[in-house]
Amino acid sequence: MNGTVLIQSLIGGLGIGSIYALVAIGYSLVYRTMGLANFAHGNILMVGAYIGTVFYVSMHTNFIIAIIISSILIGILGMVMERILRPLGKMDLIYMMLGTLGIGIVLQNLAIIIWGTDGIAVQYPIKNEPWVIGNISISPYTLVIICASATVVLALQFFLHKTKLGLAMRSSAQEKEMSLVLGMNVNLMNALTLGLGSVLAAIAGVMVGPVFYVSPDMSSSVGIIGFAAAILGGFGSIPGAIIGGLTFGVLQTMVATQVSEWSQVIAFVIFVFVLIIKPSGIVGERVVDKI
Amino acid sequence: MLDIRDLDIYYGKVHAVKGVNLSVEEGELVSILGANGAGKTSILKAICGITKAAGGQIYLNSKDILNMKPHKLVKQGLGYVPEGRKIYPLLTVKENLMAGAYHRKDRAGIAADLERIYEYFPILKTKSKVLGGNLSGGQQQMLAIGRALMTKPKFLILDEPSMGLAPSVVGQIFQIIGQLRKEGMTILLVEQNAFHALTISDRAYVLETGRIALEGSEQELKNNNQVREIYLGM
Ligand SMILES: Nc1ncnc2c1ncn2[C@@H]1O[C@H](COP(=O)(O)OP(=O)(O)OP(=O)(O)O)[C@@H](O)[C@H]1O
Ligand SMILES: [Mg+2]
Repeated sequence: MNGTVLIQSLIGGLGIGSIYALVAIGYSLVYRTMGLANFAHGNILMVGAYIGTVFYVSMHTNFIIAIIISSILIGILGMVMERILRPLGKMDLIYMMLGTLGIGIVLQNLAIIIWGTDGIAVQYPIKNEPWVIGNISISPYTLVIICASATVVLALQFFLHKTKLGLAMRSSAQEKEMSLVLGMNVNLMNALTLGLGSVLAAIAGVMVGPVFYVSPDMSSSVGIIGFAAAILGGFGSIPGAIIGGLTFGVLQTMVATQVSEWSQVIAFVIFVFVLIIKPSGIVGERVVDKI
Repeated sequence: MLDIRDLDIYYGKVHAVKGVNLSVEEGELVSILGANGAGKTSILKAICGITKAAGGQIYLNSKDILNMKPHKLVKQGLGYVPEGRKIYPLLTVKENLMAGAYHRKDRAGIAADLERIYEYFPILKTKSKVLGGNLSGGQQQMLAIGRALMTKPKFLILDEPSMGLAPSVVGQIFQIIGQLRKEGMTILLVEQNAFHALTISDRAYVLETGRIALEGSEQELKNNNQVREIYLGM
């Protein structure tokens, strides 16, 4: 692999990796707060991508407006999900996980009924003629994805660490009963977390539309890699999700430049290898020495 | 201030609290003493609304709070220092304290209370950026008390604040509780350390397998033969 190809696939990998990172953060947020692996997350992403696409492609709204509308609707969907899952969680966590699986299947089939299985091609929202610097050619949209994702992550960190509601969400994730007694509505915090995680998926789904087709397959293609990225980084950790997502993106792109049809397989082989060496994931260290 | 009548609590078939009557007047410090499994924590959790009672009434300031949602109680002036401290391990000391102020909107008051708690427990100020989970047991207990005080409670309940602490730290914790009482706070204290608890209490109840076995003033209980033998080891 020469230097030009390396740099080019690195940038391309960071672009798609940013998308995986957003998806992975959604998984981790929900896991941290509710102890729940949300198996509907990929399906939510796909529905979010379709909603955005319907507005952008069919109704010709501005791309950013399409992202915002999709985020709002998907955020509400995430909060409604908490209400559906709550009674299951009272029985057992495993029922709640199965609940997410069920919701995912329903969303998947609804999407196929409404939009079919063919997939929709989405136009780039900006002129995407590659920038050529020396031998390296860069797609401007890749840079847009990287910058937009970074902005979203920074806004999320600001919300979680600098606002009262963010503090309450982090508290409720750690000590549920104590948080109740301190006046925090823990059910609402769970709903907000699921809503927020879903918004991240919607943003990722709409943004990635012009790169891939928007199709029901996104649930598995983007959703599963996001899940794997969250595990790779250390399930439940936000920095871990970012590192895991970017790693997956870069790996996949680099492998693809060499042996295209094997890119997924090789990325997953490396994934398994990392987890054998470090089962808690890359960042999955105990942050606290003793509890 | 607090009035509990005929409180019954069941866990499945286990009758953990059996018709308990208990009251705390404004400005009083009242202790509940009792052996392991007597039902002390169950009573406190019922007051906080995190354990459901099967029967009875709990009045706080003449308001029936038994069926109130737990997250609404803090607005009634209820502060809680739970058994085992239950601090937030992954939040910093300062964030733990600020979590106590979640329901408040008076910025100036919150800042003033934070400073006051740092005066009570200077170590918390030194460690304000350390994660709660990395504190020692005694420091965590101070943090749990500080967090409860950040809610600006009128009525404070503490569940075995001396549990698992070195004698010197126990002394410090009881001194602070005594000081809070002198400043006019109404307090309900659950303890197994009967000597320390009685010394700072106005009155106390002795709970045995879910029933009130004895009640009386600090002096009455300290002079009671049964209490002297079982709880004070004299
Ligand atoms: N969640 C629960 N499920 C079932 N039984 C419980 C539960 N919590 C408490 N119990 C039982 O209820 C009884 C009273 O328990 P409780 O925790 O109130 O006692 P305690 O006086 O606080 O004891 P300790 O001094 O050990 O803290 C015990 O027999 C206990 O086993
Ligand atoms: Mg107890």
